[in-house]
Amino acid sequence: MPISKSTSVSDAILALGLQEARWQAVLDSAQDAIISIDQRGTVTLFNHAAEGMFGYRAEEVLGCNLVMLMPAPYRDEHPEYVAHYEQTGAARAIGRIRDVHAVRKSGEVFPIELSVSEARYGKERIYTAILRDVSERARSQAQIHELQQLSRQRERLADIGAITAQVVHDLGNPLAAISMQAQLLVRRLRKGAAASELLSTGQQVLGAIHRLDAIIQELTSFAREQRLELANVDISVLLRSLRDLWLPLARSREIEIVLELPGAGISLRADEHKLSRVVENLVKNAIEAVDRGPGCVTIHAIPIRENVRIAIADSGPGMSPDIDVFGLFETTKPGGTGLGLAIAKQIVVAHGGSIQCESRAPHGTVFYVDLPAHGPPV
Amino acid sequence: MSTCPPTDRRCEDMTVLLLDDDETFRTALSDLLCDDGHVVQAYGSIAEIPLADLPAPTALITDFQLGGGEDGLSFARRFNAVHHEVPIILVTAHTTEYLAQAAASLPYLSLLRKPLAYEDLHRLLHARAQP
Repeated sequence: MPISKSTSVSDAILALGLQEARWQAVLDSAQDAIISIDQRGTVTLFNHAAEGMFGYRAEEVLGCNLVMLMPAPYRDEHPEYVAHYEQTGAARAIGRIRDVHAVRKSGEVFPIELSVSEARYGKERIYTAILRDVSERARSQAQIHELQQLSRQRERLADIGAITAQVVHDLGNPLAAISMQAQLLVRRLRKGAAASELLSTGQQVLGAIHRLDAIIQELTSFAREQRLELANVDISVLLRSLRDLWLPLARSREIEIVLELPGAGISLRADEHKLSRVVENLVKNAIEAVDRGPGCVTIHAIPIRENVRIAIADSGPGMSPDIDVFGLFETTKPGGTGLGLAIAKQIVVAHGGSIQCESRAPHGTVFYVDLPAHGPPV
Repeated sequence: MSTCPPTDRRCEDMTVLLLDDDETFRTALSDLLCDDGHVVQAYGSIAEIPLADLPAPTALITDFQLGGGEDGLSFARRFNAVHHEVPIILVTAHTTEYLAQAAASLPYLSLLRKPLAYEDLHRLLHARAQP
């Protein structure tokens, strides 16, 4: 019933009672804690949800100062803060939702979301706060964060484990070969073998040591940060010299290396030594993919917009789509370290470029290297 | 494949099938086995072995990681299906729990870690091949 000038006193009292009952029902059924204080910080309202949240009965709190529900440092700052607000109007909590902490009767400090509104009645000011206990949410977030960290840690450990196992294997094999040759050498020496008989064993040991060294060099190179020494590189010259370098081996296996270059020269800003390593690796892989000819390896270069594309295709059998050729330690070759293409990718990416592989099984494989002509973006 | 004739009459009836893609390891082990009088048939890859037509050797020594598709453990299982009684020694620079478990579960198979002492291999070969 709305109260107006014509409303009788008894009706007005009845209406106020009804209004009071309605508000009480709202306050008691609210899921959030609702607390009102006066200017001095004295608690004037403490709803049912507040009782559940803080563990106090309303009569234990009503008439007391609000600071009993606050942990340090809020407890000490609050009276000063209210006074400051009333003098200057500069509000920290009013009109916004803040994440703060409150303290239960048990002494437990817990996180809450707090929003405060202000009502004025004459000179009196009433501050009403709505508080939501977010301990569960904070706990879940902390748990999720912890799980994510744990999972990242496990992934890192698994990576380290896999890398270590592979390094142990890659170093263990040449070491086993050296060990076996050395055991043969010792036995032959004991039997008084002629020096000429021992020469081959010595050479085999040196060969295996060379392999070990190459693996260590590759691992070192992979681990080192890719620092580029940029210069203008004439791609035609670079590709021609690589073709000449590999042609004798290729021809001994009846494999032809075909160079396809556009009429005009292609210049590229890159680290010549590292880029040469990438292309050399791809050409060597291509020859090994064909293995025995007759076959063909094609090296092709072309400018595409702001990029230069170098493509190396072979007429080998192609590759299985299940292999991540750029993955660390991925190899399909006997005695391969699985580092070559991983290093190649690292170098290309350091140049701001990309490297892709397209298997055309059973008609060979093509590797595409795309590099920005003006060098890596600064 | 490379073979060598027996030089030690005591062992001339022992034919060892050796499979390892590391040539340096394979040749040294072949030489040591030959010195001890075994007939050695050494191969660098599974593809070279005529498994169906192969007369049963006295023992198989195989590496685990062989390059290409099939690994030594898978080959060992296939080999065992044809030559049930022949002991197999799997040599590997891999130190995985998986291999240790696999070796423990296959009674015909022993595992030796690379690098290995030839004497250990030789002892195992005789213990398994001549009970």
